[in-house]
Amino acid sequence: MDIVESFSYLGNILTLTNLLAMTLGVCVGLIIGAIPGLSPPMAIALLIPVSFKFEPATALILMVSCFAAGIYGGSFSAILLRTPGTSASAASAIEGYELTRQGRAIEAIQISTFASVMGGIISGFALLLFSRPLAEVSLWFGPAEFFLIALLGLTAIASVSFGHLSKGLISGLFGLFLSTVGVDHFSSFPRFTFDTIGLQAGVGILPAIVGLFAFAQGLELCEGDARGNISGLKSLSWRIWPKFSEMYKLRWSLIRGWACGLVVGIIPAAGASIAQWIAYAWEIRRAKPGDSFGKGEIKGLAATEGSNNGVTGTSLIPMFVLGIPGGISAAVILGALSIHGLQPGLRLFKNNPDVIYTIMWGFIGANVIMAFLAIIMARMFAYLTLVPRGVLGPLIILFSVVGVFAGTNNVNDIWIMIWFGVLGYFMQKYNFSTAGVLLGLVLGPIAEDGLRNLQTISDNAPLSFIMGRPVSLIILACIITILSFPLLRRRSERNRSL
Amino acid sequence: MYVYVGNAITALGIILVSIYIWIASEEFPADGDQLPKFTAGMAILISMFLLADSFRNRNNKEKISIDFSYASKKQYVILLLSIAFVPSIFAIGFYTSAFLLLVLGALIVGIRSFKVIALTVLISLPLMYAFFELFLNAQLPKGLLI
Repeated sequence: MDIVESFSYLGNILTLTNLLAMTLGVCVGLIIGAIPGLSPPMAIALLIPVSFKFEPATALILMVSCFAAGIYGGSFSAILLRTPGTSASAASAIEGYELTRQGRAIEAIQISTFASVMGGIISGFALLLFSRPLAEVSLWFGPAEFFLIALLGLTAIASVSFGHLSKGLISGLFGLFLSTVGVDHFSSFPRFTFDTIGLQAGVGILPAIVGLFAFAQGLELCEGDARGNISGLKSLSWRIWPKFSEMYKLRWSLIRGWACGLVVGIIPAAGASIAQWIAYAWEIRRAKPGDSFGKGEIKGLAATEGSNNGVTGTSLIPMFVLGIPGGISAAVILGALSIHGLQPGLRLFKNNPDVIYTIMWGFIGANVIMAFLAIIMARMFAYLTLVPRGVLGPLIILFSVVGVFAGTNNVNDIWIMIWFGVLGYFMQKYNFSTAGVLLGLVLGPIAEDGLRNLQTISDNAPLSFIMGRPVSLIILACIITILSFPLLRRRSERNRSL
Repeated sequence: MYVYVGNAITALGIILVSIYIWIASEEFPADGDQLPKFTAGMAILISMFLLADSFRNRNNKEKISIDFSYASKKQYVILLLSIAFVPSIFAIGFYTSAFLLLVLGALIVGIRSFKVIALTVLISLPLMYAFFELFLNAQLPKGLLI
């Protein structure tokens, strides 16, 4: 792949059609990503019929723009309402919502906007310039690595559970267990369904994320003084785009977040969900005296927001180069590629370089457009923090129900969502990690397939098989390192107090 | 009840559930028992740490406080209202049920300004119609009414 050649296609995105495609994709992605119950893959799927009118490059620009904006859109509701629109924004809810409660919602949105836009642009250049070598990295991951990556994600979440490591791990394990509910796709044997038809298809991620975060948050907002608002503010400032000097102070947190996103995003299937937690755990590991992680620390938010958009470009690399989707959104985009007569792989770069490079430039351009649209959309969403809690709570509950029903058209999923909502409400009260449950649910199928295949290819000797694979050993070392963070932190706090 | 007692009861509960999961997984064919047993085994191990930790902190006399006032129970009433809302959207229609949920929900939690409630209903329901039915083409249920 000629880097100089790729720059020659930059001008292709400056046509009116492509600019409109980017703008439409970003608008749809921002709105749908922000609403709990709706998701970027849904938004991308909705745009497929719209894309039939366009040339293949324009159609795919529309999809990837929606994908990039959907992840950032999920951060709005995560930061402002603690109801992440996507699972990729769950980590941002921790510090972002605390900032909102302190009346610093606009500051949080500023950091999120900068980190996400720059993360997306950097990730887009990684996609454009380094697709082939980075694609080979994704081939290093086999069953053992996928199983260990799932464990890595869960330990990362557990390590950021602020003094409740065991509760964080138990939450993750509970999510892993919930992922086994339903008919086993290997043997078609129902597991833990208790003869209930509604559980035969398993526990969906959509009802889980809406229940654990949105519905639970709706219940929490109904507590206490109904007339107060979340932030305690009476008005908001207009400035959404931050000052460069403010972002310069956060440069190392941003760089660590972007780096996590770029590297972890290459891992097929698991990257987007765990990148944010690894970035967050890394940031906490580097906490200095005076940092207030868990209580509104902007460095934590900068890292998670940088990573969740830093993932977007690199997560498309396995899809474009190898035909292996990096997640559900990439799988939908892969489908759109086929519909428009394009087959992923190195042949796409050889036979249609104008198309593929234009799409990649379109992805970068969409992130730039997102920076401008964010000013309008973020302000609109930020008004929600001025709405009285007693109004917002029932409204969020209503949107939770309609979002799940619109997404799945299945009333059983609404009941599952409510069940998760009650569970999430009590989990938050007693310091269990709702994000751990969600991540366990997301990573469960990856972990199980990895574990099963690992048993087969290692002849039931998984440990010795893992010991013989360098990438597995690296991941294992990362797991041990991350698990040691809370213990080391506790020891250093004890030494400091002595 | 002391917090450490609550943590101990939670840990014991998790151990019991994990034992059930382990036993129930025995009948799953084709290695379908691997992940459930893995999670159950790890949960038992970690719960033992939680149990040990709770007894190590038994000198901490922090109590779990339970508030019986209405202000701390409103969210449970809203939960019951939400549970009643689900079948009602098919019986009387989505928009009628949503209207009742928003109005009754706001009154239950303590909003007494009818202007605020009316504004919420007048803005949110048409927005929902425009977004979900017109844009997403998701047909929301209609019952006896809309």
